[in-house]
Amino acid sequence: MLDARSSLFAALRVALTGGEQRSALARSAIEDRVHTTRLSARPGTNMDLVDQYCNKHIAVHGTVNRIAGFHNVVAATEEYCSQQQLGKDLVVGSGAILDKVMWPPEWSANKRPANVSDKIVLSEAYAGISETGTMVFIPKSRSPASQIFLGTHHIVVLDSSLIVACQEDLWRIIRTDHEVFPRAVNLVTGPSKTGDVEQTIEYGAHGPERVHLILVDV
Amino acid sequence: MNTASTEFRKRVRMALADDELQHAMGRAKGGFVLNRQKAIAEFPEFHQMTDAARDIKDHVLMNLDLYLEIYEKKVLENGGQVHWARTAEEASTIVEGLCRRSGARKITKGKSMVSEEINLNEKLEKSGMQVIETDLGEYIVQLASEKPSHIIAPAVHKTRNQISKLFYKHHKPMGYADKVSERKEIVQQARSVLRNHFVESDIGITGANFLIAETGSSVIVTNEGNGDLTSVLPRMQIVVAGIEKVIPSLEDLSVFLRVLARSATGQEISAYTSLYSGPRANHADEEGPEQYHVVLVDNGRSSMLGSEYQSMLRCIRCGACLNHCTVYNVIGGHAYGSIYPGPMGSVLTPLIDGHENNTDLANACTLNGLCRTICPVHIPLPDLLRNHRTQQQRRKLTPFTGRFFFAIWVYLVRRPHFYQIVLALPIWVLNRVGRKSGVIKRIPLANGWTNSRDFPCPSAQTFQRQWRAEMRKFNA
Amino acid sequence: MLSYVEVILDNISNNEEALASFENVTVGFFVTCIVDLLRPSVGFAALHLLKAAGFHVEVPASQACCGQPAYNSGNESSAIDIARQVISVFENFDYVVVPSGSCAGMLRKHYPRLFASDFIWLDRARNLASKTYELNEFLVDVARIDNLSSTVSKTCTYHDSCSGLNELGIHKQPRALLTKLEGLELKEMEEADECCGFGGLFCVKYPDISTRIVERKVNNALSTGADMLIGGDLGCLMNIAGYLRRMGSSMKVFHVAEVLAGMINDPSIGEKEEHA
Repeated sequence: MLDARSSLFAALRVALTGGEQRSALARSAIEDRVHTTRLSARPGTNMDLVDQYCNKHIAVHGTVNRIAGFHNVVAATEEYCSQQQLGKDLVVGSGAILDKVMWPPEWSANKRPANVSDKIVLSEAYAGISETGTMVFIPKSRSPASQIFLGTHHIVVLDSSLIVACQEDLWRIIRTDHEVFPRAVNLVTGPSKTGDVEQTIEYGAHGPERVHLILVDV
Repeated sequence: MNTASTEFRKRVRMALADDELQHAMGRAKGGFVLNRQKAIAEFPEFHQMTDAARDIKDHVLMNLDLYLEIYEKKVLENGGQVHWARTAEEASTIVEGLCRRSGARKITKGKSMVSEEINLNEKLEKSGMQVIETDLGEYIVQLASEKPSHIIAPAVHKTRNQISKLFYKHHKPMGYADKVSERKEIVQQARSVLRNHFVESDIGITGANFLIAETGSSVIVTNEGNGDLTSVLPRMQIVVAGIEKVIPSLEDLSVFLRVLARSATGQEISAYTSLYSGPRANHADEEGPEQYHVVLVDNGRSSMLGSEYQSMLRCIRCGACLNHCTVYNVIGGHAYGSIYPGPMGSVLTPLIDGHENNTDLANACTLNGLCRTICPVHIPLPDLLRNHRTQQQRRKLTPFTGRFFFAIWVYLVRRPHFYQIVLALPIWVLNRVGRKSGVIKRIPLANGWTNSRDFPCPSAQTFQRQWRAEMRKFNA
Repeated sequence: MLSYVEVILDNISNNEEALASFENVTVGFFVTCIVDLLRPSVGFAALHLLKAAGFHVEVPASQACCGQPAYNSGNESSAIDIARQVISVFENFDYVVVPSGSCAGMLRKHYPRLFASDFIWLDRARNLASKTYELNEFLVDVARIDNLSSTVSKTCTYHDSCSGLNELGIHKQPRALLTKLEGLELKEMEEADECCGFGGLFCVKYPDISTRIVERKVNNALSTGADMLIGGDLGCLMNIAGYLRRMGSSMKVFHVAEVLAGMINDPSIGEKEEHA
């Protein structure tokens, strides 16, 4: 008796080729299709990429603060935290900007994965997608995925020069940056939400209730 | 009438008499439709994108064996494992085996229709494992011991009041003493309860919206973030997906993402779109599963390939056809008696589960064609439903009396002159009965109409009769 | 009995240029079984409109039904037999006009599908499809009728029947025609494009579901406060009027052709004749 895999593929080939094996040519045509970038229609825009990015981010219930230089990150964080009355205890991730930030002694900036009781998590996005106001994360050892999903307030630092027009640009950059495609790529657009109670949106379903973006012009 | 049909009619009657259901459905309906309309109006490339989406799916389906091989190879390279299941039973057995062998006690799940299709929860629970649905809607129906009634909004049939009661009953023993009734409180309580499950979970099981051959990634799209907490925190991740989910590359993914959320909820993109491509690298990562398994399920799909139903394999489970279906919106998902309800479900269910027990699904449809118009991958759903009807006729699964009267009607229609002579009398009789009041209150054999509606009285003579008498005057 | 052809319709006409260009154009009128059997006035209204637009119209005697009931209930071979008959009778006209989006859709979209593997008949089916029009779209898109000056001092609401809307994309045309009428106020109802629950045999096979759907349709129509509901498919209108009468509503229901031809003083669908 054939194992499941063999009999499943046999069934597929009966349906697709009348049971014939695929030729080497057919195989390489599909290999090529997989590894050749084919661009379909992409959404157009006349707006400045960063402006559009901010608008889209706000449209999905995010907030933005645009600052100049990494040395203003602490002040921007403080501004948000005091406005939200959150205190100064936070989990901090890693990245080109965040690694340079020096936290004054009154801050308790914990560089560790986030856990279920963490209120504020500050992390740095890998890129932004202007098309939809999306923040892109590629979790690594010092910026793990828990930091994206577990805090109640997620403050995200993003280098404004890393905002790309659309998803296809992101894929291109990831391919250039990574020899092996990363284990996880997380596209986050606004805070966590659910419509499961009366089809009406409530924020903070499982992930962050609020997402605050600190956009840094480096 | 067969048992299945009697059961279907019973479920419909219950649904129509269920005030809470009717209230919930009435409330949900407009939102989905209007949000979608708005999203599409703001995105001029939408229709171009749906054509591209259809073409990509068609191309993949024609080469599905090759794409699955490439995908599998990539997952193995990434350190994951791929399992193949021909049937629902095989699929749930594979998953159960993986869970049992790893000694799992608690399993968290992201929303997955294919896991419903293979009855996974039942299988795992029978083996003594605790299974927690983490999508809020799925969690609600799990508490209610029900099945989802909508493929993207599982608890769309539940009112806030019903959810409030369910939470009180199930959460009180966990220390939540107060009954919550506001939406915000309900969501907060679910968040609080489920957080502990996420961190205690041994295994996370999710479905996949897409599988990418290029990278070996499984893609999940959610708004709550539950799918990610399910994928990231446990030590083992299991992805269960239909074999038709594979797409070629990342660029193709972008095409689908642009049509999926707009069609489903009217969003430009869902809050979370995540690509997971394997287990954590040995030492470098502090998080991520140690094992990554993909279970690919056939369960009737390969027999749709190359058949007149192949286009159904394009379906991306956006739910738009449910949201726009007149019948779905009055009877709700449960009445269909299948985990896939609405137009897509009425096509899919007989293909997975056989025609015999599902004769009503294809017939309980007005064929108004809206589902075809709004489908983002252009599945000709009404044509496929009509194909089902043809299958039923061929296999004589429809009632004899219906077929008998039908044969007489066809005989007459094919002889128009004789048809006029035969029908002159009944038309004249109907006119005599109804002309005083303008309507006929009851017509024997047409109770289906006259029990709830009057029948407007016809003229005493057919158009053809009157026309033959007057055509000369008209043309003069 | 009313003699429809004696109703003189001075108030419908077309411009000189159009009249001249349509002089030798013959339209085959496909009555539809439901208009033939249940409401001949719709047929006469349509004929008047076509004639006023400048066309020569013929009504073949050898027609009964487009075969949609057979097609939709899965009796494909019967549908094919009926389709062959319709094609043979109508294929030589310059145009075929149908006072129903549903039946026009059958001829135009589904006949070719029925003959997908029969090349000779496929050609003939496609030929017929290419010249088949629903009445409203024909009057607007082909006849470009410009003078419809009857006075209809009524508030109306329009129900878009599904086949016309979803298969043929008919939405603007009936509205364009109706708004030419003097005094007519069009008040759109909520969910105007939503199915009314008729669905051919559906309404008798699943009366519970059908009734709930038509209830919703009728409530939406009544909420507009309109005096009259107008639509382009008699099947849907029978369903809607039947439900309105049963609930005792006085809202009138007319086929769009009747309204355009100025026949609104005749009894509406399901309304009793007033005897002088």
